[in-house]
Amino acid sequence: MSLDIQNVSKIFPGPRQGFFGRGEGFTALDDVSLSIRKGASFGLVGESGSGKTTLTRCILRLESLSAGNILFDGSDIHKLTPLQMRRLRSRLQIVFQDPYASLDPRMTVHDIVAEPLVIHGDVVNMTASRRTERVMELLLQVGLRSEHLFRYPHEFSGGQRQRIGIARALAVNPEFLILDEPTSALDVSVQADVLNLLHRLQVELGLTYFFISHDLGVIRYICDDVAVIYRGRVVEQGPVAAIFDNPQSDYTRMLLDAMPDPDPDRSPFRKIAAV
Amino acid sequence: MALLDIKNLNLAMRSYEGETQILHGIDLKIERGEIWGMVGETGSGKSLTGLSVSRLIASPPGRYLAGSIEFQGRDVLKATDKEMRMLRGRHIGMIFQDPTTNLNPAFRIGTQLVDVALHAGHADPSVLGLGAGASRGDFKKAAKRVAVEMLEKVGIPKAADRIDDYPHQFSGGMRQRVLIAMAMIGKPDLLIADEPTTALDVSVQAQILRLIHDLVAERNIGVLLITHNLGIVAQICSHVAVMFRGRILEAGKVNDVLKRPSHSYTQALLNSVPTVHTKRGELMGLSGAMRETSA
Amino acid sequence: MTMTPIAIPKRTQSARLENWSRAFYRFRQSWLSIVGLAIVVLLVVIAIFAPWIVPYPEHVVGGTNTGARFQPPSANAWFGTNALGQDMFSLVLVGSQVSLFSGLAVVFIAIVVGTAVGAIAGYFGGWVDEVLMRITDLLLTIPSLILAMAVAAALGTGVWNMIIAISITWWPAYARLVRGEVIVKKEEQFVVAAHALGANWLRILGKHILPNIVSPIVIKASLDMGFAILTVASLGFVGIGVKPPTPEWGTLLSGARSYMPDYWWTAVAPGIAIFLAVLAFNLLGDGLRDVLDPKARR
Repeated sequence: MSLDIQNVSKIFPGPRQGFFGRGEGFTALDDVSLSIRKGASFGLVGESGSGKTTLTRCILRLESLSAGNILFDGSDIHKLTPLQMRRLRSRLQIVFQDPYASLDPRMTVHDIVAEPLVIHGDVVNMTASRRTERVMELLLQVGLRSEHLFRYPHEFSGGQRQRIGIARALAVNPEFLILDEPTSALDVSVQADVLNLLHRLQVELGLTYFFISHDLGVIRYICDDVAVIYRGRVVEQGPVAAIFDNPQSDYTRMLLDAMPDPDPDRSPFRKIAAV
Repeated sequence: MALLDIKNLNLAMRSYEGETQILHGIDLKIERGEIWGMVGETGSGKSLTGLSVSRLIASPPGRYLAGSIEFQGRDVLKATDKEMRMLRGRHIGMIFQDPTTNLNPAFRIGTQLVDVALHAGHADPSVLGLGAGASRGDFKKAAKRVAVEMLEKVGIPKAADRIDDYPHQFSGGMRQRVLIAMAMIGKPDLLIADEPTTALDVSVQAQILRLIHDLVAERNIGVLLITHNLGIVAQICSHVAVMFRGRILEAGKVNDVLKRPSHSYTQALLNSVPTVHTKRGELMGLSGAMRETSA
Repeated sequence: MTMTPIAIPKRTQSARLENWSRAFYRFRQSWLSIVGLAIVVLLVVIAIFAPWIVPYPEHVVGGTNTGARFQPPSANAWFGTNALGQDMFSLVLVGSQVSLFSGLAVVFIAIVVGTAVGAIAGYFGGWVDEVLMRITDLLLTIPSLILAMAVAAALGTGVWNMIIAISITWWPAYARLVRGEVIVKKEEQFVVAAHALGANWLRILGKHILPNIVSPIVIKASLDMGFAILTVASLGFVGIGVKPPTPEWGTLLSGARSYMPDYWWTAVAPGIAIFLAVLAFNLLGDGLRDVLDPKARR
């Protein structure tokens, strides 16, 4: 299993002008090529508006492509029939950024985590009681407890909600997880727990991660390979150590410099003050 | 006399569950020229402390059980509403996390800035460089001039042209600059910034932090910077207070606290930040035990 | 992976119960909401039990007592009697039945039709949206009173004709409301999450979107109930709608018109009834808004 993104471009149509014409489109992705190895963690770094969200939407086929191919295990995601796509969705899951918005507030934890099992019922084929057992396993696996089963999302903290989101993504035994800024809405201490959980799950279940973040520290911590994306273009990609220790592009260097380090001696302001 | 002196502040909030105490005896003293970082996790009470200083907590549900907040020697908690409005517009500036919701989308940037300038000017005409007997026309002209000056000061290019733009024509970083301009227009003595860069990109964050740093250097104001990001504290703060469950666990100079934390919680927080130098497996979250027992 | 058996907790209602008691706590914060709720409950109780509790059941079905015409309010007849000597108290109490029933029916039909149209238009967008919303706009332009009169003229008067006529002009408002809410919710992350899981449109609309937009619909419905009662009374007042002898507040008020101001009580009793009903549903609606508004939640 691997994911190959080949020369993908996405141009959003411009505003309507007159009856037939359209204004100039907006290029969200410009000739993006990435290759994600099986079992590895691939990091995608970019700031807001860089196109990283559009790319995930394209991978999930929530958005069509203007050019290029996205190959999952050799088959082009955007050329699959609806049925094939539904099958594929059970192998390719996503954890969203905002743990407050990504869980339906009117559903219990049980129903949220069981939903993929119900949707893919034709493949998974579980009885209701077997489903509940599976949900329990998942909750324990992500560090939640059995008494959480029939509670509602608003009764949980941000970190716990993100664990629920992870449990939902793991329900149908996927091979590939898209992690869309899974920790950026969390406290640092909670973030550390979630990152360690993700790392543990990857080792235990042999998952492949596509990890999107604007936090270079997080990327460095969890990823093996990294690509830096800026205004829809990949500026730089390679093994994490190489990119972080020896960045080639000015943009990557700027990002590294701008990252606040909790060591007071590394402060750019204090350096000035000391002189 | 300290610029801001919070003594033994105790705050309780009423909700469905009944009244719960949120702040337990907060003590904090800020002098001019100091940038105080206030760090803590969600729910530690750091934002409520900041809001208390401008008395922006409605009562009910909030209730102060004990303590005082002395701003330039006067107790904010005992001030009248009129005095508070004066303090907020003129002596205490506030910046909030989300730059999109704190600007009114229906009005031009200039209109909103001029409003604030006029409000500050009526409290103290010297803010606009005017004497006590200035006419209304003078006020308006001066307010507009000050608005443009402030926008330039916070780094908005071609401020005089952009003053007629609407908020949606600005990017997130630019909007936060506008809000900082708005907070600084009354030449406040104290700036309270509640997670001012959390919604922004790191590159923009660095610029905003520099802006705050330079404003302090130039105007000798005091800053209370509320954040969950220890990196930001390490970068620009002179002092830091670590909050946990409504208490300040430790406070002092940034170099002392972050390099030689005396409290295990501070150490744990520091350990949980992944930096460019952290290796996989080194990162430690707060142990569950810590969370359960130290309430 | 070998699994040790895990104890599955019982599906308790406690979380749901707690939500309700939380909601009621917020509702209680305003005493006006409580007043509204109390009057609405009282009205419903009266409407259900009216035939058994009225002092003069025979008057309600058309019986008259010409010997006791225009008696002022007294211990015998609390609200006085009318031109036919009927007890106003009995008539007003039973009149609540028609008002509440037709109000409920109108709002119910409007919600069902409006939600279906609005949800489909909002979810699918494009030409489906265009077509459905233009029809909606068209119906919005028809004043409900005029249409009701036209229907009454064409099909004759009667409760059901009246209800249908009012509903035709009322559902478009719900369609617009629901369409707007659906468009907003469609972009919510938990809906995108459901898409990513592979859920089909029926599931997304029925299980994720609609349950989350119940609040604005309920709020609008309770505010509309008052207005529906008023519309029904207006139709009764102008003489289309319910025919005597079935007592109805608008008809009662209309009958009292010619005897003002000497026999004021014949107008005051149904007038106050209409006023209280409309006020109560509005207060209730405001209270529900406090409880259900998504901004107040969380």
